[in-house]
Amino acid sequence: MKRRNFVLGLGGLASAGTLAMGTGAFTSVSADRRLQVETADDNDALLGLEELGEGYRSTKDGSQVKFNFPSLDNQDPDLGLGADSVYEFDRDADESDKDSPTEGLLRIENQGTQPVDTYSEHETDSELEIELYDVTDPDKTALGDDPVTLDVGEHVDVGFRIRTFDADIGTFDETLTIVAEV
Amino acid sequence: MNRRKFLIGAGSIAAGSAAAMGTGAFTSVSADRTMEVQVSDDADALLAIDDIDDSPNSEYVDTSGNTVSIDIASAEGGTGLNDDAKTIIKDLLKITNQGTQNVYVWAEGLPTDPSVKFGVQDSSDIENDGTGAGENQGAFSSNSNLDTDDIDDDEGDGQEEAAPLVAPGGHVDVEAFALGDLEGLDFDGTITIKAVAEDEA
Repeated sequence: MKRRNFVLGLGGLASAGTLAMGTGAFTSVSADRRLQVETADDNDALLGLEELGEGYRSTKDGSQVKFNFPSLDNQDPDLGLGADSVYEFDRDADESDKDSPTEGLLRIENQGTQPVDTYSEHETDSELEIELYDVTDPDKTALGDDPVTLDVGEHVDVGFRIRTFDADIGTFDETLTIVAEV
Repeated sequence: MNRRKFLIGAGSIAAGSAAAMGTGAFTSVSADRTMEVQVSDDADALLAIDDIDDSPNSEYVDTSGNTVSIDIASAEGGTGLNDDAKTIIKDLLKITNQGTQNVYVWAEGLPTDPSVKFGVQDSSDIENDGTGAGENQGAFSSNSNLDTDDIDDDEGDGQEEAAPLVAPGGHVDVEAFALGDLEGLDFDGTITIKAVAEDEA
């Protein structure tokens, strides 16, 4: 009876030891799991980007929004933004003739599942400076300086501010980065 | 076998509902989008700034660069304004709205002490015609009687404080004037021409 007791005791200890080691070693595991990823048109993406207006300054090239200043439909090939100036574009070219013009050139919408801060960045080799601002903000503060927080389903309609100080005369292809982060 | 089937069924329902929701949480998105911007010299800009064709006072305006500059001191002939006199330099600049909406246009940053001012000539093609008093059609520079806090003059004190309102295709002909004690006048700086859409003012 005594010996049996002792054996049981050993068994209990051994078991505790295995638990402390926790895991068995393995060299590799390869497990295939299904992943489904889709790209969406800008309008339908997690970060929704929607062109506003009639398509003079804000259009879509395939599935991506694209912008032209002064206008895609430029009748005068010489017409442009003046040098050494600050231009602000609140809306598309022909909106001002309307009774209730559409404000903004781009709608940024949070179609994800948590609030995000959104802003723009502009890196370029040219002298141009481009920034976005909330057209409902009386101060037109650049989103880069003061990101707009968008709750789920919320949007902000933005205009474009373009500074041409020290810029050469000509046509520039620029890239604007629109960022949203939690 | 039955139980296994059930598990597969549950799995596919879960996947289906995720797809139907459409969105997952995202931590950050950074999307590069293209823009085309055309920059033009002053004469071809949306807010075009140019000298006036056939004006003898175009002598004071240098349009050779990308941006217009005005030099009243070193033009051919005299080298400055008369002190204790009233000098008007007509047909100095023509500012044209090549945009698509009505804009108020005015100038800021002209010398104030002693002061040289800009005014709107009656040869202008503007929407709020006849806004000015006396021989000037209207105020144009911030150091004249223009009220830059009330450029559309919606406070109703009379429109002489308003800036000219220029429709697409319209223009302002600008004159410079200076009078009185101009002693010590030596200005070499930048003036700013501003335009603001009618419904923003």
